[in-house]
Amino acid sequence: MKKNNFIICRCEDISWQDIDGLIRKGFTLEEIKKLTRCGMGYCQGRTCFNILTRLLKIREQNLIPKKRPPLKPVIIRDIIKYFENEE
Amino acid sequence: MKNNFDAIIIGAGVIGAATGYYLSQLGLKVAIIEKDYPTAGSTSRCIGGVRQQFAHPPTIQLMIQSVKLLTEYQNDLKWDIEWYQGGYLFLAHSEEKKENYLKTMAIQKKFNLPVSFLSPEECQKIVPDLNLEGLFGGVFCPTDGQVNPFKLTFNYLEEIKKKKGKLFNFQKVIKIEIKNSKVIGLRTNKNEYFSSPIIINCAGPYAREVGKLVNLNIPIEPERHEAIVTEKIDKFFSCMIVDYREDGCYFVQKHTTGNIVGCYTPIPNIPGYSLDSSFEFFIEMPRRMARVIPKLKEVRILRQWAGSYEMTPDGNPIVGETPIEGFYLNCGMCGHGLMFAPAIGKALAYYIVKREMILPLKDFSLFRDFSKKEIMK
Ligand SMILES: Cc1cc2nc3c(=O)[nH]c(=O)nc-3n(C[C@H](O)[C@H](O)[C@H](O)COP(=O)(O)OP(=O)(O)OC[C@H]3O[C@@H](n4cnc5c(N)ncnc54)[C@H](O)[C@@H]3O)c2cc1C
Ligand code: FES
Repeated sequence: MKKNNFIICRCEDISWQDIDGLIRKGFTLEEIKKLTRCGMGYCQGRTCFNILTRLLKIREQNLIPKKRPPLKPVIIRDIIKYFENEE
Repeated sequence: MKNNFDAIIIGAGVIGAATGYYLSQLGLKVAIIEKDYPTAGSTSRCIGGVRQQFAHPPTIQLMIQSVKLLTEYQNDLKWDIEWYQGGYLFLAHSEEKKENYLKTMAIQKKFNLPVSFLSPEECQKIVPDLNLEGLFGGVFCPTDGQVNPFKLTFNYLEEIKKKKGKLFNFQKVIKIEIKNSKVIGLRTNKNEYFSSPIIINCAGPYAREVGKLVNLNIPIEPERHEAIVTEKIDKFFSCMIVDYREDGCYFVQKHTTGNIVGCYTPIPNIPGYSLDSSFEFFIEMPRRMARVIPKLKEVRILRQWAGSYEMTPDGNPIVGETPIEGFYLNCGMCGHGLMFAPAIGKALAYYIVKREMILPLKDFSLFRDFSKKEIMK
């Protein structure tokens, strides 16, 4: 990793400097997620938020945006298949 | 005194932010008190739809005003709010539904809304790959659209700060002080006291709880509504699609990112404050979307979440005065708070400061007869 700037979220092309700037303005991680969409891509924050909270030394779970279901992206076709098997 | 304000707003959702914005534009020194962070309530859970197609004339007027204001924010004030007029398409899957749409269209046309009834084939021109099975057509209004709820709220809040307004996050209002049946101030769980002759309840799904602080019974019940978002895909439709069947749904593709977001209204409804995600919604919602556009079968679901609708007995918001002098309401948005915010925030602010009714607010009064219902919920 480069010292002062590198990509945090590849899906939204959000860099450490983008985030750091918002932190300095006083935004919480929840707000930053919503403003930048960091953590709303394929990893759903499972990778990028771990990097972020480590860099920001945040350990309190309530300050870290919640992980939502599903655990990993699911193709709709597979969900429908499941649904049909149920019936 | 440092905690002395001209007006205090409870709740930094889109409604509190819009109301505060117009009050501060009219010269008031505003404080917003938020128990969490701004948008933490329903606002961050909403899917961004903005439509003028309603059946109740005051709501149509309100929404025409909102659309005008959103356009001004973006074009004249240069706010980055991702406002985009891709339209709303309400599908009719029965002759009866079609008849109902035609009736409401007649009302909407009186207000010059550019609505038209499209044949199934015309619908398919707007939404490629639309499933025509059982479709009788749809009503389309091209000036409806979508906006980014966070960005809209944050723009309002920034403007409030520019006018010396203050935002207090992570403080819950727990007491409202009244003297001679007038509000004089409030207290938060951090034991801070704020004084003001005007207090506005913009607490969204919690508005009833806030009402209890002044012994006022506000008929608002929270209801759980879930939503889902897909991965980004190439843009292929621009409008919100509303499938109005009992097991229908509504969804839109975000014009900025290409993700598709959608919800459905559960039958029966799910009262209460629960924000849990259900497995039932996770398997049901994608199936319903792919029934409308079969091509969506190949798309991935990224995330699901839930939020609260704030329901009133007639499906219309509660805005304006209360029996307590200085205590106002801007709540009970019934799942339409984002789209109502610009116009309803402005209307209440103008009423409070200038006693001017720029919209028929009487129809949204706490003192109205709640027995008539909005049919285009
Ligand atoms: C899944 C879903 C999809 C939706 N889609 C749309 C849509 O497409 N278009 C649309 O227009 N609307 C939509 N909505 C509805 C919309 O989100 C809401 O109507 C709107 O956000 C309400 O805004 P609000 O400011 O009134 O409430 P909220 O955003 O809930 O704000 C109220 C705030 O008050 C705070 N608060 C409560 N009590 C206190 C207290 N005692 N002290 C201090 N603060 C307090 C809360 O923390 C909260 O932040 C949707 C809703 C959901 C759940
Ligand atoms: S890297 Fe984009 S969501 Fe985590």
